Amino acid sequence: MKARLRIRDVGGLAGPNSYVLESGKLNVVESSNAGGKTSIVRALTSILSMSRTGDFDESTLSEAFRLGIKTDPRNPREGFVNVHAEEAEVELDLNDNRERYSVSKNGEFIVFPDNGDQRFLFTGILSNDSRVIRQLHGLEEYEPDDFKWAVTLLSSAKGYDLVSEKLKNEREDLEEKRFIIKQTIQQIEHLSKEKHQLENKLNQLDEKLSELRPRFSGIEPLLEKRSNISKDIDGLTVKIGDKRGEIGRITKERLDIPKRRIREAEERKKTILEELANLRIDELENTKSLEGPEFEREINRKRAERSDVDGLLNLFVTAELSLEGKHGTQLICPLCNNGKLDRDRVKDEIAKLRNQKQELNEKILSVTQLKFGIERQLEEEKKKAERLEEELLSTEADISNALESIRDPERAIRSVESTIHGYEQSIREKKSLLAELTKKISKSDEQVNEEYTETETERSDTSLELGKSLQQIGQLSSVEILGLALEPHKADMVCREMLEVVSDLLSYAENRAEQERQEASRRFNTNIQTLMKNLGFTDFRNVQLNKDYRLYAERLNPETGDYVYQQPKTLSTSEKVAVALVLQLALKETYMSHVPFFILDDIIEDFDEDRIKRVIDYLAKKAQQEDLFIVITKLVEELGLPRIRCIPP
Amino acid sequence: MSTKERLRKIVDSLAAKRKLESKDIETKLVQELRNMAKELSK
Repeated sequence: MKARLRIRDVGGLAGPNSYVLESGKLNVVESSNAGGKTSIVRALTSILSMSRTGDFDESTLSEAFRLGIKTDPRNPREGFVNVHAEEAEVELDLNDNRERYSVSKNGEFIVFPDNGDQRFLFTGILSNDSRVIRQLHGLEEYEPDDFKWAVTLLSSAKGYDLVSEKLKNEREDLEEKRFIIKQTIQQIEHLSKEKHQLENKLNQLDEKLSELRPRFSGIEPLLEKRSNISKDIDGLTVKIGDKRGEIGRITKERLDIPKRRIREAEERKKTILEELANLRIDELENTKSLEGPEFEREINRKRAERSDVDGLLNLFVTAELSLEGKHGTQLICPLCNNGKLDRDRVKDEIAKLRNQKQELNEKILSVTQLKFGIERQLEEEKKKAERLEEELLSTEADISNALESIRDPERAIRSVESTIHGYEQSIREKKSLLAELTKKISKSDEQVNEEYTETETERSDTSLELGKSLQQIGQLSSVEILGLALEPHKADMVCREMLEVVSDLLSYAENRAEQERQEASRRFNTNIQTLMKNLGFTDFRNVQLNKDYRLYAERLNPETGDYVYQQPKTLSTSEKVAVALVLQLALKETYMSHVPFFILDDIIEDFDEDRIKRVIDYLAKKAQQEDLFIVITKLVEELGLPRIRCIPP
Repeated sequence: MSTKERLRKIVDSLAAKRKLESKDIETKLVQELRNMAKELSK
């Protein structure tokens, strides 16, 4: 099978270039030093690894920067897009399927491929910048033999690890919440005890006042009236405390949560509106309406020119046929100036016209791509706008629902506040009455009155304390857990149950991650053993990942003929590259066997001749057996523009 | 299907995603935990 790779303005290769690759063969990308080999490799790697959304995971992004698939903002000069161009474009035609990738100089994606898989960066391409080689050279944050990242990042273990991380946070939040709930319960118990004591004290003070009352003579009705007013005031003070507690409870249970929801939804709405404002639909529509017809006209003009060239080409090809075997003879021809044409001239004209036709074809393709690029980009932006509008509607509905849900509690709070206000008004009136009565009573029996007044004042203070106590109990009687406002004992029960659920789920996710790693490691080790055998690397034995996912390798000691354990960091440079090749091929077999591409950039030349031969033989055989596109780069100093040679095994 | 099994299935489906994002975990798993807490509180 054949694949056509078209690239425009990628890396060092300015303008449009087109290459054909063949499966079952070695595709050798040849150029002089800095002649464009790596640009072709980058173009191919980008279209195979760029995801549908155009971005990379955090763990993959640095690899994309190092391999030059994405422009590193810290090093914009060595970007994916050619320095003289505004955007780069890659197209890969394979099996009647066309993948497109287009990116602007500032890193903004225009068109993404549909089937790219970012894991290709760790499995499908090996260059001196690849993580495997850097790690063996000790240039990575990992120990040279630590390959836990590979079995994690490339298998589902990574997904389980991410879920575990989230569950750990949830568990910590629940544990923290449970601690707060327990403290709240203790505070409520303490306040309830205090409330009980204050109620007892009030009863005792009432008894004392009853005992004092008979000592007044002739003014019992006044005294009873004053006592009743005083009790009313105390009762109202307690009620106010209770009502304030009720307000605290309503606020916590029915206002705080929806208000937080409103704040979050408002934030979300702001982000969506910003994203909508950043869309370039109008600009693209303008470009399309202004430049679209011009593109059409340009395409039609070039097609007309190509038709003229075709006509001339047909005439000259006919002329060449009629001159076949007639060396030195001349033909009367209406096209040339002197009316005569020889065979060499005809050949020159044909070559010239074919070149012209090729140039016109490329121009038509380039303008078509430009036109298509704008249309595709416009389509993508419109889709995005549609999605954002939907999100906006749903967010606005959330806000409106939450606003609706806080109306009732706000009304309830206003009603309670109005009741408190009434109580306070009543207290003020009663206090004024109380003062008048106290004045009248004080004239009769000063000493008894003083004791009576003191007791009543103490009773009032006690009532005030009771009111405060009730207010605090009210405020503490509701706690928030997982977005729900619950009574503390119920919240404690929910928290305990949820902790059990989350802990169980967390150990499940952690166990599954480990199982995935072990399974990946097992498959990986099987592939390594097969590869070592097929590559004939007899100077190594038992290359494998051990149970800690550390790389284990035994190396032949030529003096004794024995194989002994060799630490990866102590291998020679060429041996490290050989081990990296085996590891990378095994990673490809283990995780990306469905992608029919494997790329080696500037790797082969690091081996000695014997190893080059074995690697090339193996790769050629593998390409043929598995119908793979194996791409390798080769330095050819005398070449100008790069080329790809497809070499059969 | 028990609650435990349902939650485990959600975890499996999340882990199998090629490009798992934090918001996927939030909307699928954490939301399910919230619903469960709501049920427990009834």
